[in-house]
Amino acid sequence: MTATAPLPATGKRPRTAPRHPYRAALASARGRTGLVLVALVVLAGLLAPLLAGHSPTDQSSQSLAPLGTPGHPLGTDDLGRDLLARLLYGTRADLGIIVLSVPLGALLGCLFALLAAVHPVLDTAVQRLFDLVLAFPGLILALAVTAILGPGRLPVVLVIALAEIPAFGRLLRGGILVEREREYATAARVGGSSRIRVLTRHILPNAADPLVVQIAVSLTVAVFVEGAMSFLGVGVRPPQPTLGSVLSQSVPYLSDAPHFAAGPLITVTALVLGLSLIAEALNREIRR
Amino acid sequence: MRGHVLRRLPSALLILFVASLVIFAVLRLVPGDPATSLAGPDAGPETVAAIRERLGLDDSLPSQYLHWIGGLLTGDLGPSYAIGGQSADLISDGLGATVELTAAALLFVIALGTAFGVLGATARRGWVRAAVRALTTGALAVPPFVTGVLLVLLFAVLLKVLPPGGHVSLLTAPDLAVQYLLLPALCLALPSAAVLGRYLKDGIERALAEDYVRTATAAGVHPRRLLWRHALPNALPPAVTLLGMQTGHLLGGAVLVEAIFAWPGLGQLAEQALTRRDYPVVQDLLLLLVTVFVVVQLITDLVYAWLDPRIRWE
Amino acid sequence: MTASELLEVRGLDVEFTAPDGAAVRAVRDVSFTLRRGETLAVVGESGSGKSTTALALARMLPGTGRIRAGQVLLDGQDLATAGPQELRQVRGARIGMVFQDPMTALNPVLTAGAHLDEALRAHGRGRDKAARRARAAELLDLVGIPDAGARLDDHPHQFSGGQRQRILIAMALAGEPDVLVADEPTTALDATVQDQILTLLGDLNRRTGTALLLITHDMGVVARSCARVLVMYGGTVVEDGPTAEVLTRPRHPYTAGLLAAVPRLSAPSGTRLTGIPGAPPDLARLTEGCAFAARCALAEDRCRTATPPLAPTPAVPGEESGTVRAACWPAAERHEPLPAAPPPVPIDRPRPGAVVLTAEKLGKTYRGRGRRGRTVTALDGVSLTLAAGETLGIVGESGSGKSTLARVLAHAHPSDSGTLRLGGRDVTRPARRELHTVRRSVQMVFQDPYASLNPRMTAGEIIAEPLHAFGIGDRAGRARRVEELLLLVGLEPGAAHRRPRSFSGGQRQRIGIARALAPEPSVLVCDEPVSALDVSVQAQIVGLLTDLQRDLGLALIFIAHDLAVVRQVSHRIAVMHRGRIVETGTADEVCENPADPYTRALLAAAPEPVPAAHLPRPRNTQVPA
Repeated sequence: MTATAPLPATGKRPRTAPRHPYRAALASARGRTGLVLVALVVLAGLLAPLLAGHSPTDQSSQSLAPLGTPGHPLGTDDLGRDLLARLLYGTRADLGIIVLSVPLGALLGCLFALLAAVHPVLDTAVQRLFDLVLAFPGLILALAVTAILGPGRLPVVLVIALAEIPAFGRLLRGGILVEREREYATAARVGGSSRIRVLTRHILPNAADPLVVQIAVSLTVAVFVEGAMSFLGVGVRPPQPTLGSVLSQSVPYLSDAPHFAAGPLITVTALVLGLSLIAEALNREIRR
Repeated sequence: MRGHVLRRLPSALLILFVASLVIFAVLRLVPGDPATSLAGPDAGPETVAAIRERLGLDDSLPSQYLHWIGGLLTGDLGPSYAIGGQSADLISDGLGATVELTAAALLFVIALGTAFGVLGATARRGWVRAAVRALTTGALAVPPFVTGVLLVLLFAVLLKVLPPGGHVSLLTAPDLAVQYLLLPALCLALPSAAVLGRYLKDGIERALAEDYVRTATAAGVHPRRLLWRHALPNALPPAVTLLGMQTGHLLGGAVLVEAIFAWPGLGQLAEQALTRRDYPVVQDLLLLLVTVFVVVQLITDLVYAWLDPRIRWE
Repeated sequence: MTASELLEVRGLDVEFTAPDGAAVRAVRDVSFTLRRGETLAVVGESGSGKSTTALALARMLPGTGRIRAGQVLLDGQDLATAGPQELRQVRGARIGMVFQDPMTALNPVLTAGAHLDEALRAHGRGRDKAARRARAAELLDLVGIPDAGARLDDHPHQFSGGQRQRILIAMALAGEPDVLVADEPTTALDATVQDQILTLLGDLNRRTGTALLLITHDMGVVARSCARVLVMYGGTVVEDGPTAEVLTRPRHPYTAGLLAAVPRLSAPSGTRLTGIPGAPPDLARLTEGCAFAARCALAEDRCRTATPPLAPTPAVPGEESGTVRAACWPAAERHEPLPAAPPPVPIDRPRPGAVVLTAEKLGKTYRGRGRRGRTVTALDGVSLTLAAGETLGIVGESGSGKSTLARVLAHAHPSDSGTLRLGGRDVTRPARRELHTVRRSVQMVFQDPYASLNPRMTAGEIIAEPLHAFGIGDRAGRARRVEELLLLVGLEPGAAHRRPRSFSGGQRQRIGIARALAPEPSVLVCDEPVSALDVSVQAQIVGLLTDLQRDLGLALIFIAHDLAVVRQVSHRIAVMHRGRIVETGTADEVCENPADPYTRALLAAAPEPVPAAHLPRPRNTQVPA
């Protein structure tokens, strides 16, 4: 050890430690805007019982009351129900559905992906399974599931979860396949690490980033599916409000009472835009 | 190239076969007996039995399945249980309207998507790129039922230039039909156009950063030619694959858009048939949609192979 | 500017903006001239600014790069301030360019003919399509593509790497430029192909009178193809002069250091390469003074406070004064050159002991994708032995199967046939438990110091991973062992807490070596451990490996494509070609008396950093068998 002068261990540049990409993403302009939008909608949903002066299903004598009506700041719907209450409780219902269904779909998708990583034969089987789910247009799937289970909250959750399984499954499977061939994974195997340790300690942490982005994307898809099912009349059972159902009920009155549609329009837009901005911000930081 | 397609054929047929099994099985899982609901609440057991007999519901499941597939192969789809008439007629009626809608939407997707992609990647002015980016983010995130309602509010309620919903056949009154078609097609197309636009933009940007573009630049080639001759041909094949997948999404999305705009297509038929447990119609319809989806994938593969010489000369 | 001067660069400054907003001064105050028909090499290691300088000439800087100051005068026209239209008329027509990687530099969807047609059209060469096609065929013929006319309609994937580089050269020549700028044109190619391309560039220069500006990191390439050379370091020119002079009598300490670090095929086995200590400067944090001062043994106080100008050096005995310029304070006053290559220093290395590893008739075949995928025979009956304390060098070009051999020996992939013995035990297809024990004694160092370290883990975690896997020590014991290992490979213990990203290439390779040493293996398989590193760093790592072998009695397999490096570190050499070992012998014997024609071709193609005039024998004669 004479001729090799030890290198200074401080690298080229004593930079400040790089921030975790997720935190950097949420601190960017995009990420912050998204976070604020989502936070507003989530707060509205969480605080619905406190903010709403009425029950969302109580009917009053005033139908289609305009904005600013005393006691009904956002007016009432065709059946005289308070629109503010329906909006807040509808938001609450949507949030309940999406936070249940997306993680469920993600979990199942990832389990399938892990199963596919075990053996090429299982991989083919899992791939075909994903193809099959994807071969059914999403809303047709929704109609079919509802036909079996009848309308309600559970079918909505299941439909969303089912539709998300291939999205997460394919993403993780692809990630595992790519990372498995990376040299550091070979190095870990040669270094004696067991298969399970190589997978959990080396491959999965490096394949996980796109999944986080996908969660944000899938949440927007979930809002879409819930609304679409309400429009098709196979969503959560009336008179319970959801964002989709309030919006779909407003359609016949668009020309006479446009404010009927305004609340859910703005809320849905804020929620999905916020989620997409977060997804985009995350994606940018991760790709760096 | 023929080999390229032939290799994909078996797996496509396999998907179709499994899909038919799944469709058949799922419908038998639906609670409730179509014969009972068809006979009505007052019918006696004999009537129900007679109906069961007539519909072949007493046969074993395999034989019912074979009967269905046999009918499909010979072109005889059989009668509808509940809606009335022949299944084939119902489907072909709805199919026309849905094809009109999705084809129009597909045109929008291609036109808008290409515009978004090319402008987003190459517009000289920063604000144009920013506007395209904002537009695609919005179109991608906001669900069609929101854009649908917004479009109706804007064009039908405020401006009163287009009808809020309904359908006129292209064959009877083309000019009127186009008016009815515009809003639903646009509503259906926007998310897919945004996906395609973003994908194409990324593809063009990536291609423009490739070494071969640097080679051409170093040879003094004009930037316009760099875009049309180098970047686009390399960004297109993957975009075509994406377009294939989006065509499937359009078919699925049509169900929703038809509901918003009172468009009498397959979506409406599917909703009706499912709620009334009209097995034959539902079966045929679902299998048709899956078939269209699979065929679109095959066509996509073909176009991809045609666009990419590395596969063309395999 | 005299009539013979074609290109004059004055005070060129190029800056990039790093992702964190810092300004990176990639090129600083670069000035040089290029005469018509001249061949000029720009040589330097990564980060020296050589490629940026070349790209800046035709204003082809990527991303955030911009010219901050200076002029690029092409026959008096300043390209640094030219508009897009003027630039387009210069690119291709006056300055032709060829880049490093021929595999990605051609558009995969266009034919060779279309590429050439486009280059011809851009400058209105050729009356019509037919005329352009005829000219395209001529050009392909000129660069030595056989059956040129018929191959115009082939796509890039139908050509080999060397042929693609020829097509790119043809494209660059299509506009009949005055100068051909070639940016590392042979770096991605095998030695034998590199030799052909360099010959072609030289021929074209002589036949067409096109000046050649060749960017390279390889002193051997410089010696082989250019009459004059610029040496760059830290974004600036440190030495400029005739190749024959600079390569034999360097004036700048960096040039001398670089020449000493280059392994020479003529140096016998068992000698030490002299690396340059330290690492290149951070271009975002340059201070006043010579950029090399921190690594320079001859640095004086003024070197650290004032930047030396590029000035003519005093004449050395037998030299006309002013032919060599150097940016060095001491060199401006010194009347003798620095040594170009110090005499070889033999290393005391142990005699090889008992045989530890035996491979007999190893075979490995890869199946291509798909049912009709082509099968590739990567290993075809490979047999070898390795003794304790011995280094077996394995050389071969890309696709020779040497990496596959490394992976089979280290049990990263199983072999299809043959037997593998470790200390007399058959370990060809070990059971899971046995594999675990085998792996403990055979470890591997990988080629790519970036890809082989998990970016999510700290250096300490990476090195501790095998300790954990083999159940060595408790938590505290492992931490102590990691510290020991870091010191052993020349890193500070504090490095354990940092992630791979914050280390330089050489430092990462040290981490990779520490990881491999962690379970105390008896055999270390090194798969191209230095080919991703700069020459000065390569010498450090090679030195480290030989020291480790001496101290730990390791048996080493050292795989590389560079015969010169392999000769210096190895006791014995095995030459691989198409999955077979075509020749084995002691290192000196194989290099001096090669028996196999393929070995002879490899030897003949290896560029030596010695100017042609100084070569002991003419290049094209047969090496005596």
